[in-house]
Amino acid sequence: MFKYFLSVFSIILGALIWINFGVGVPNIYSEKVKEPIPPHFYNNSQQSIKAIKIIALYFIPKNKISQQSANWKDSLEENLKKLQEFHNLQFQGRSIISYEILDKPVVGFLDNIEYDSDFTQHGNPEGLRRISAELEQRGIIQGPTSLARSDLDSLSGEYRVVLILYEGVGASGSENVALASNTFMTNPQYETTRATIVAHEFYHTLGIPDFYEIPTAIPMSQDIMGLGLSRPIDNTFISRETLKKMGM
Amino acid sequence: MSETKHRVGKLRDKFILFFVILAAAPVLILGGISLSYLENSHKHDVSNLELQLIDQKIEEISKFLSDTLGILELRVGFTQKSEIEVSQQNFILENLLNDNSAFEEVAFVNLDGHEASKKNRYNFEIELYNISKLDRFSLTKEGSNFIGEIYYTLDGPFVTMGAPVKNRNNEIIQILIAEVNLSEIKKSIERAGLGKEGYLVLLDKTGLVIAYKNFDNSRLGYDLGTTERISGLINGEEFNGLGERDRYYSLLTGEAVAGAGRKIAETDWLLLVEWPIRDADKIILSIRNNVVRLTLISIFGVVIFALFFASWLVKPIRALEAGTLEIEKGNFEKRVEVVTGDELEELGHSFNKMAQGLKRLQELKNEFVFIAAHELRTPLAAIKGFLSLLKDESEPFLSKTSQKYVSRAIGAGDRLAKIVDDVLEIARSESGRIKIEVSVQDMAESIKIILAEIKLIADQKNIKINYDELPELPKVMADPAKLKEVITNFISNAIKYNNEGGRVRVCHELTEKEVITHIEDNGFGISEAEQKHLFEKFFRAEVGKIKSIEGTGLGLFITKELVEKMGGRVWFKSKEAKGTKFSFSLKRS
Repeated sequence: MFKYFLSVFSIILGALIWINFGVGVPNIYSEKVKEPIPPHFYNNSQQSIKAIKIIALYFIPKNKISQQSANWKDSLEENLKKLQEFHNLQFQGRSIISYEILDKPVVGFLDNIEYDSDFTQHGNPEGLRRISAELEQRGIIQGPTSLARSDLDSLSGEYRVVLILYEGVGASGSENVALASNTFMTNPQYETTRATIVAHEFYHTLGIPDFYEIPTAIPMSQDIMGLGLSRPIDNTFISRETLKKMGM
Repeated sequence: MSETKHRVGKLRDKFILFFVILAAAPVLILGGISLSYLENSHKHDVSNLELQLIDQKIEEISKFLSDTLGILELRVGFTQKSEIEVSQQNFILENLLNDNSAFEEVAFVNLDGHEASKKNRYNFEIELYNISKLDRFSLTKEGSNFIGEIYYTLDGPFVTMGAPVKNRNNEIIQILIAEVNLSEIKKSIERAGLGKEGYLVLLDKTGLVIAYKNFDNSRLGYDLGTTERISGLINGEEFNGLGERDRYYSLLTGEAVAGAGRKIAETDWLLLVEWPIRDADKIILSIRNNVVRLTLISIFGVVIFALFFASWLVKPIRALEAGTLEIEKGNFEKRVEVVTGDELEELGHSFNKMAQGLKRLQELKNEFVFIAAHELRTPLAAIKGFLSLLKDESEPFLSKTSQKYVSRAIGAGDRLAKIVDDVLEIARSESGRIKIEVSVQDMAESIKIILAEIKLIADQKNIKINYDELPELPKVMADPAKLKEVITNFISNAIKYNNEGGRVRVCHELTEKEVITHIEDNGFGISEAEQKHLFEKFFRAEVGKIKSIEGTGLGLFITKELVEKMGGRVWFKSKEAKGTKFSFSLKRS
């Protein structure tokens, strides 16, 4: 009789287990997800931009020391924070910006006339050339004690960018270095777009070109590298095509 | 007896098992089937609810888009193919911004691609651009309405929409373009839900998240297009929550969800609904738990119930069984009382009738035996008398052979007389005609007298009889003649079924109320198989030395009857080839 009891209770137990774990219990499917590639330079998958370190400084030509902006640091801080938020949204947190602002302004060896450039489109390497050359010469860029040395990139895993707030006329960006005139920070005309301008120049350091025709300045895209440069940073974006070319 | 108990236990176990199966099987089968049907039906319900919600939201989104485009589809009252005056343009743009909170920026664009006028909510100096290189211009200029790609800003998701401005001749004179904030749609998607935890996700045509309740603006644009499911959806593979793979781990929450997804035809945007299974299937989980709980309770309850029920059901069967045992012992007075109101009660009545019939049959048999035995005694006495005369008076005239025959006839007559006496005594006893008159008797005295009488027989087999008399043996209550008959029977049996040179020991044991007498021998003993029949009428052992010894097989039956009628008991212990110890008790005086 015991074996009958055992059989019956085993069957009941089996049925209960089946009901509990078998009937009405759905099979949960695990989605296959393509592993995303790390974000990289525009059209250059070799240079990762997973982590970006911005070294920001205030550059004053020697004849403009008296015009030194009192709140240059706050301006930089404010615009870099906005850039961080914007970048985080556009790159979905897959590329992170950190920044450091040099405490003291860097005073140029020359007068502003030697550095200024009115033509700022398409990264205008000319506008940067003199300041970059001097910063290199002074070891701030690419020198033995430079802030943006490429060998530091491999050591820290960060892509290093020097962002120059320039007390003069001009805006420019090229590999590792971006420059924006302090005029954008102080002139009310640029109140709503100053962070956009800083971001625009910064994105040149990641290899993104301007998207407007030369010399007509007809925008070829609606994003921050084209028409979107004229919009507040909260209201502009990086186009899908550009992001795709950066591994997004 | 233990065998009987075992059988009763098995019957009860069978009842319990039967009830457990009877209780658990329907619960389990019905529970399993109903759960399966319910799950299937519930899955369809979930799917319907999900698709219903999706369709509702698609309708809402489509309406929003068509309403917005409708606002931009401007018709002017003149027929000339010329632009609207700038002042009027500004007036229109101002009104558009004021009346439509979704418009973040609106602009009239001339057909050469130059923005003619522009208004926005940013409150800064407006710059007018040549947008002739942008899709928004080139596509709208061709006369189609334009809905651009979604773009993700810190202010939320936006889309550029454009429509041609036409004159009364339906000629395109300008185009009107707006940057449309999708916050309204985003909020609507975030607010929508299913159950307590179900949610909607709106994706653009590449699979980027436009709206999801757990994402603030800084997380919009999250790419779900890399997943197999959303890639499929982008390619038109809609899913409705009923497919094998439509229950999956959400990439947004990591939780198991029941999902459904559809494409919005106008924009190719995707609408996805995900309902966490623990919420969506709450009812199924609850039913499953109840089935399991109910089954366990049923089994427990049934086991308890079956114990009582089986005992109740087995009770009349036990009574009938006890009755049969009494009948087996010859107690035809036994009646069983079964009150169940069913066939078992009828069986009880039949049993009682059978016992009554057997009793009557026994009475008739006893009567017949009594009469037959009694009637046999007279001719038997005559035969014995004439044989004695023949032996005493005609012996000198008889040959040796004839004398031997006469002697044998006399012996056979004596044995027949003994049988007739025994049968008569049994018949008397069973018919209640035997008279037992109990009085105070000296057991030791009776034993000593019998031992003296029987000594000759013992000596013939060289058997030594020891009587361990107790110094102050209490008197017993017994019929003097029957007591002697009992003692004689036990001692003569001990001699009869003993070996040459054997020994017999008689001794006593006292209890508070009884005097027990043991008659122990070291004779043939009784096999275990025969022991249970020892007190039956006419039982004779058919083995070994016992078989050759003459006897009627009535002695022990009569002895037992006599002892019991005197208020005592009889029992024995025996081992084959070792000897037997008979004991009987009588009440102390």
